[in-house]
Amino acid sequence: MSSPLIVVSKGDRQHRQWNTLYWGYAIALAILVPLVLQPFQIGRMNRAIVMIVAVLAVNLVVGFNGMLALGHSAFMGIGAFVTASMVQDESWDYWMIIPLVLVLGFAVGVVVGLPALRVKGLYLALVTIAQAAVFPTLVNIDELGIAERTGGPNGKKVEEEVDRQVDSLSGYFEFLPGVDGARGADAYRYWIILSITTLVVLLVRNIMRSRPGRAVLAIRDNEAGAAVYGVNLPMYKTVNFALSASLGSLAGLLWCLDKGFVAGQDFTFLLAIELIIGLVIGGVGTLQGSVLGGLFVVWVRDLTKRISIPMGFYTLDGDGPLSNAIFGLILILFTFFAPGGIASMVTAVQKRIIQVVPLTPAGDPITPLERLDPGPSSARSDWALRLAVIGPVLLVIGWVLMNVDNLIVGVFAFLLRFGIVVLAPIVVIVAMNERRAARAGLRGENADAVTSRATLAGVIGVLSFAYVKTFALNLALRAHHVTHLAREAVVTDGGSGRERPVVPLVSEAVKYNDYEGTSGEFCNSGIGGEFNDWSVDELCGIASEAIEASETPVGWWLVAWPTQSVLALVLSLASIAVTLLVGFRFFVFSKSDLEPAKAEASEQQEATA
Amino acid sequence: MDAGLLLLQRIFDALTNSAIYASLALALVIIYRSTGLLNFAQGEMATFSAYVAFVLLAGAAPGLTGGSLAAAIGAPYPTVAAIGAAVVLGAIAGGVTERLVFRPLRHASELAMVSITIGLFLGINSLVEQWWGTAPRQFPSLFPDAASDYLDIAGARLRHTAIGAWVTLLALLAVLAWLLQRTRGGLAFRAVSFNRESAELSGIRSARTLMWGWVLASALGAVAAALSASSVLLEPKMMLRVLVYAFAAATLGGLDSPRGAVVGGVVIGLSQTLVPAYIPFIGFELSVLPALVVMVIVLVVRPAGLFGTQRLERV
Repeated sequence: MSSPLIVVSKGDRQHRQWNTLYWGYAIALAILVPLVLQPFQIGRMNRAIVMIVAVLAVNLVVGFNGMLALGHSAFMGIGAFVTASMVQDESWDYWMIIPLVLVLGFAVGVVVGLPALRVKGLYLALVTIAQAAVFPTLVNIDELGIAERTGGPNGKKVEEEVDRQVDSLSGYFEFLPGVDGARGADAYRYWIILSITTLVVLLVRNIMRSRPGRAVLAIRDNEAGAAVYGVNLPMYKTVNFALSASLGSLAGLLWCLDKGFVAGQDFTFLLAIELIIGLVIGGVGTLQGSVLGGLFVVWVRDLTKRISIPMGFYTLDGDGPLSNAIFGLILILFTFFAPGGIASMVTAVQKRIIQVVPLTPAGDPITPLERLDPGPSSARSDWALRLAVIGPVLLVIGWVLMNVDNLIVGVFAFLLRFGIVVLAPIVVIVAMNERRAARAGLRGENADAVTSRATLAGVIGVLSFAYVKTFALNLALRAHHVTHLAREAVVTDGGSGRERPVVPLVSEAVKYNDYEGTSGEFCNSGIGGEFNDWSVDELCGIASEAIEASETPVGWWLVAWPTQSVLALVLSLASIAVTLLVGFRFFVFSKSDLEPAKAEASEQQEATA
Repeated sequence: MDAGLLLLQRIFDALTNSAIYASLALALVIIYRSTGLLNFAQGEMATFSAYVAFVLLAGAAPGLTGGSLAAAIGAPYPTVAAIGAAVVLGAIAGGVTERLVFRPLRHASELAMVSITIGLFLGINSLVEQWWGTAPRQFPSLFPDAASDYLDIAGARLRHTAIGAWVTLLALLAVLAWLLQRTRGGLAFRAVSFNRESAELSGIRSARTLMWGWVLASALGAVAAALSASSVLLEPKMMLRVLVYAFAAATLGGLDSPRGAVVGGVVIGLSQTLVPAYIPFIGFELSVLPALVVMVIVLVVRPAGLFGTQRLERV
């Protein structure tokens, strides 16, 4: 692809509005996540966000300052144990502990970092390995009342106290539909952890753009050069390391908040290794990298655990020691073939599709804006046509793969099918632009070819987008319908003779049994037993029959929480609206865009005449 | 038992561990010296060799992965032969690892190298767990280990296993010294570690030389694992602890000094036994602490370690 498909200049009104919309959409999605996920998935999401903070802390030292630190598990442990002790023993509120943990982490960071950072090379790595290795045994010391505070080898449980504190927030969230019970507690935690994490990411972003941040980056890029320019090397390295340590401790606090239980064996060298894996695979030295890496180590670990590929004489089973082998292999492959991590891959693809041209201080684009005119070429329309064909092909492949009963393949298939939602609008925008540019005389002799190819691409794009969106809407609508059908299934109360809806009863049975999963898993688990005089198997049977009778592929989770089907409907409609609005408002050439170009083209014609 | 005798006995008790730490530290030093790399996978590669030795010792046993394969080549072997074969196989595996993984990446950053070794660490560890399970296994002792097998020195008991471990270590050191000081290949290896570019200019094939460094290091690691398995039990995670101590030992002695690695191993082994014995505050649980404190103090006072080369840098 010679030039990017879409070009905008940085900081102009359109670009700013686009950014606002994009981030607004992303933030709305992030906030709504717990309403869509199943309760145990919210728990995994919480852990993933905690890991984002931890990976970011490691990134501060390794990515931004170029020093190897391999012991952040210990800082996380310090934060987690201090939180556990203060919450449980001193009855502090968790938010009161945040400053304490930050200061404490900073102090420990200075103590560890100061000696190690004065010498060059791999010594910080060695000291931090030592620190990670020793931490799990430190919490078992009987002296000074340490073991008493940390719970020693048994760990410390703070779940009830944290739950009580988190539940005190519930009053503020009551207006939200579907947030109650086990799901509610996890959702509140999610929002608390998410907001703290967002603040941390913004903080790091701003620090790195400030003078001290640039000094830290300068040390990484050229230590001697930075020293020559007056950067106090030991001071900046130590403060940066200590800041990283205090963020690590904050991650520990969030860990404690999420898990409700802390033990020494959670914070071993293996956790430190996991952080490094997240950092390398996400992308070293970038903020996006930390976010992607944190999500990766939790979610991909969960995925690899579900791999089960029979290979004749041998079954490749991820739910065992091999999950680590798969992780190790992924790490090595990334180091070889994508040293910049996922972040650099995302950026590379993004640059091909949309380019943001930076501005000079005077406010002009730094390079001539190729927005309208990539020269008299048909490359863009060619690519639009290619992408227009690729989209439906991926869609078909995705559909075929959906029939394979394997989670990994399923996720892959979903991504393939989802691709067209992103691809089709791009195709349509580029096609419209190229048609208009050709009409304005900007494509010279290629005008006819460009017009015909762009038209074809645009038609395919519109059709495939419309098809997918209709399909999704239809599914959401039917799910909504079935949800109500299933919830109308009733069972008669033996005592009072009243009829009661079955589905909420199953949900209650799940909670009653302290089962951490969906109603569907619960019903398949064969736990059985009694619930309020009914046999659980009987309840599950009636509800399942009602769902099956509707002949719509609806998961139990949709039925159990009807808000989700409404939400799916709303999100589906909203995404159509946003796509149309954003696409046409911001990226398609307007008349005012084309007029100067038209005038220029006609001038040239006159000159040649 | 008076205090002096008790001290002597404790020192004797620490000797086996010292030898194990020293040999793994030696392996780490050889690789650091030549390539400037901290090899986190060293311990796991060694564990793998120990399991290979175990399989060669056991031969075809029900439920033992690779047992029938070993039986096909004549297992069960006698103890020394099995360990020897495992050391050779481990050494070959080390060379292959260098050739396949590290040589293509020799210009990559420190972090990239470290992540590769971490990837290997995870991969080998989980393969071992997958194939041979996490249950500890009894590994036959290399040396006479009956209750009566000890030398009586001034009333303290010096066990034959400790003597054996040290004889093995000293023999290895002698071979290593001969290889490095008296052979052409050793000269090439020293030249490459000292200044790779100059060595290449004088016609040394540095890549191949470094591969021999990996072969040596893996062999040393395999010996360390065999010693460790025969002094305690054979299990997949056994070398993780040893690796941490070996890192401490190597740092203490100076990361680029083989002599320092041995001295460091002895100091770490002794402090691990003696400090918890004489300082009641530190229980055996915490025996890892003194070693690491010593390491940090050395780093602050003498960053290059006791025997390491002071680094001078031109800017």
